[in-house]
Amino acid sequence: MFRSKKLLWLIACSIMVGLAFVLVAQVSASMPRAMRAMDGGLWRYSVERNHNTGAVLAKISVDFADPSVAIAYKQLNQQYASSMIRKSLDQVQDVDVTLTFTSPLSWEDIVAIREETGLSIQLYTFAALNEKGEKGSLTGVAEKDSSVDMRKAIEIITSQGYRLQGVMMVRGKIPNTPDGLGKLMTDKRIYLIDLMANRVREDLLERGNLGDGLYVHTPSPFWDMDWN
Amino acid sequence: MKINKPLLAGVIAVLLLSAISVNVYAAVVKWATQAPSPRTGHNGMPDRGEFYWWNDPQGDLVWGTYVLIWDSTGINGLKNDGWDPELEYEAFKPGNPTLYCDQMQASWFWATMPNQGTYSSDECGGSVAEQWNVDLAEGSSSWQAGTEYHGLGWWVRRYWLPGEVNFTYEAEWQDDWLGKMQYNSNFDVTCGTPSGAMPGKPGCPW
Repeated sequence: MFRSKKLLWLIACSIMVGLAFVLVAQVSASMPRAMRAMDGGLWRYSVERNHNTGAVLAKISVDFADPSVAIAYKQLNQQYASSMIRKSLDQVQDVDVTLTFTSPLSWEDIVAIREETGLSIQLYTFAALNEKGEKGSLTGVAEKDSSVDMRKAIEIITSQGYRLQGVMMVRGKIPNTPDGLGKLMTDKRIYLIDLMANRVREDLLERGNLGDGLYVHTPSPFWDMDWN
Repeated sequence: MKINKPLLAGVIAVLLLSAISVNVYAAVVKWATQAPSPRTGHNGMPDRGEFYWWNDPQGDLVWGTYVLIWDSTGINGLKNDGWDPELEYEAFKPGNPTLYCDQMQASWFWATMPNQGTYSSDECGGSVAEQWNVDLAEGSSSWQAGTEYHGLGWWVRRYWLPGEVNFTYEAEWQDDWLGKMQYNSNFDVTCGTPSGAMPGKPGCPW
């Protein structure tokens, strides 16, 4: 009798431990992915691996609504850009960049920047206003040669009752050379040259967390800037 | 104290079923004329809205949320939902991302809600970007309760097969499903869930 009671307790305890493991596993699976604070918490990023493709998506977060954070983040990027240009003496490479402009640029301006710096573009964000001054953004995927169908962009914006103001943001790659990234740094029309996607890549590589492919989404403060 | 075992088992079963139903039916986008119901997911979710589908057989396929409204509670919630609140426009079945993949490719996205950028991604591994994400600018001072915000995607049709598209609100990588539309092999939409979010179309069968 005593032995069978002991056995029953053992079985019950095993079941409880098993259930606890299942519960912990389920809770872990539904918990938010890890967030990593960078540069003393000035900005942060979080990552998620796509189980279907093996690719890793990383998202950067910056509190642009806080002016002191926005200024410090901009300065951080300037310092990092200078260090990347110095690195080009040893190794020239195309680095990820997100450009936010001080005010909307014309398509001709963008083409000129591309030709002068070697910037290749993957995404364009156009700014548009309606008669009430309300804002709308149109993002388009660029062709392999960095071009985009401007006729289509204007057609979409007009169909929504808005008018095109210009390009407020682009995402792409730039050579880390004085003639590439260096030229962008002296262009007063650019409000923010965001290079932190490269910091995320370096950080993930150091930690051995790079997946089969990495895309880093970099936020831009373009919405709350003047579009006139 | 005596424990009523059948009663205890019943309570546990009800609790488990409630948890499952919350996960499956957490839809808060509603036809704008319906009364709001309590939120079931994140605090920053939109309160109500209306889906949109425009199929020009010769040209554009456009779908998204033509009406998306946050109330003041939702806008306050956006600021407190942790990091990275986003809207996802998914041209596949999120619960089974091998279904309906590669049938449409993202090309343009139009947004009138304060955002920090929009990006497309390949969610199925077929080298086709079948999802648009809108990174909501939770800290922006230009959010307004009761405003009708628009979020519309332009898509390139690749395979003319029946399928479905889904809408999701996400914060801290956690998804709250907002609803879906199903379409036939002509890319004509056949239904919308929740019922009423797609005016004139009944709710989709599960």
